[in-house]
Amino acid sequence: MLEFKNVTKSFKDGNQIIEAVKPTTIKFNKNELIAIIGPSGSGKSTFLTMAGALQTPSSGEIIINNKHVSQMSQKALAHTRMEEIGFILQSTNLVPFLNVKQQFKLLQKQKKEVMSEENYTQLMNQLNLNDIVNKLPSEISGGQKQRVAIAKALYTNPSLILADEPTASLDTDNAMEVMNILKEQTAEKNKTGIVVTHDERLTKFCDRVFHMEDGILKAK
Amino acid sequence: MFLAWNEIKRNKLKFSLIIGVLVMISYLLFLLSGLASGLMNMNREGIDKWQADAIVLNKDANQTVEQSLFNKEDVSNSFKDQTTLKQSGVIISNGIHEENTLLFGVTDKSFLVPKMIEGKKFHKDNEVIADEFLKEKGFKLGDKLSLSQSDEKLKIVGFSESAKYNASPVLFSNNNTIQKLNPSLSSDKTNAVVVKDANWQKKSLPNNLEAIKIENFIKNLPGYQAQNLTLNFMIIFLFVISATVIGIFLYVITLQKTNLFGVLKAQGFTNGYLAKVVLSQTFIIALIGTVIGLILTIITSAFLPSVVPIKFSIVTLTIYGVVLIAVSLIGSLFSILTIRKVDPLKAIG
Repeated sequence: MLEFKNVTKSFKDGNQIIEAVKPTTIKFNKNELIAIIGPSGSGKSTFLTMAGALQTPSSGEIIINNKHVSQMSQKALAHTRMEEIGFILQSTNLVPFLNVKQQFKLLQKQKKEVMSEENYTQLMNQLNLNDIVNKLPSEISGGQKQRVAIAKALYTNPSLILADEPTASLDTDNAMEVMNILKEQTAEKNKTGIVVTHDERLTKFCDRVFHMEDGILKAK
Repeated sequence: MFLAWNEIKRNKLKFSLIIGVLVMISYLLFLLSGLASGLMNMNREGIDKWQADAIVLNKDANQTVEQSLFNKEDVSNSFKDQTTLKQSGVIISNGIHEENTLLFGVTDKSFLVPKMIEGKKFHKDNEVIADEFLKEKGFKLGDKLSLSQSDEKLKIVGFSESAKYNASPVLFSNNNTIQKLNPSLSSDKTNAVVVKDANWQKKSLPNNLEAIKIENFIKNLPGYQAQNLTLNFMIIFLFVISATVIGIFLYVITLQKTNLFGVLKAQGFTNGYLAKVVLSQTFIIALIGTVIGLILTIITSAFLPSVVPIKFSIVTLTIYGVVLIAVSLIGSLFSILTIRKVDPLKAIG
């Protein structure tokens, strides 16, 4: 569960103050997959990074599973990200010197409670990753990297999945498969999922769709 | 350790270069430490074998045995165990080899004579025991030694363990022999009295004499401190250089990985975890570099000619190895400070 209470985010740009996210109050529930669409510079990424405990709001409160993250220290924020949040980022961001299998092992070393062996095998099958487990990121295609990044985000069993253009480097079939997985993970595994995208086709998988423009989030 | 080790495994060339630098630094460090110990040993080896507590000399001799001369009776039976030491510099030759040595005039059962390794002790005038170093230089039992400043001949009747004094090999003779070469060292005179007595400080001496603690006496041997300080400074500078070199290498590597560290931070890896990655990596490369340096040192020492004054002590090498690893870890602190400043937001774009 993710809740924004009157949250704003402002940045200084010279003498000007830019309000990237205007006062926002909203609640996203468990088992929900949310889509946020909007033009570039509308504040989507700022919204997502605040939801992901990567930055704190200028005012207001953000609550992730009853934890008030707005006033947390950097260490506590990092802990919250590891425990509660699974990021699927635009750039795939894999560790270049670890093979696919080791990417998961690294997470397992840091977070003890990860996906069960059975669920892991099922996820790897769904994402067609079984054949590349011993390959380094430099040895696989862009689409494969993106699928590994998605699997990594789900592997730590996060309660909140945040995806920034998760299907950007995937073909249509793979993109639809990824959205199906996200839908399944949120609906059946008691998670909240937020997908920021330009791709309107993805909204059909989502329970609620929001539009963001000039820092204002509106239900569509 | 998992992340640190896997990065090293997958970037062998990059890390081999750093390890190579560390190998060279540790190799030089170990050789220098061996040289420092060897030179130190050359100065004090003979004196250490006396296992004495103090030495009595003239107050105005500036703690130099050859410059000191006093009546033996002035120190007769003052200490629990004591023996006279008469000393004279001589250049000896057996016709083939020539060597600068120190001739010690000592009594029959003096504790100044180290353990014999060959031959017998002197029984007559002009018989000498030579130290092992002279044997290695080519002198043999029965050699007749001519002296540059006297017509007297000396005969080697035995060899003792190496017992260099202030870097010179030593010949041991009776007091008559040294008196023949240096008439001022008559039977009632001595250059010094070496003392074995834990309570030596409590014993009174005539006003013209002073008892000096053996360790202080060694420190005041000509050139001893200057030599040690020079080598120790070189060793300290090597430690500083290694910390700096490792620090720079790791800093550059860390800068190259800023984006990766940012991504890992975004995923919830803490600064502490990433600092441990850098420290583990530093520890691994420093350990490998130091061990290879140590192996090279041991191999080199096996091939060095015996004239090179090098002496290795496992304890010293271990301490220097540990300190080298520690200063490498200190060198990596800059990188850790850089990691703290990495903003995960910038890394994920």
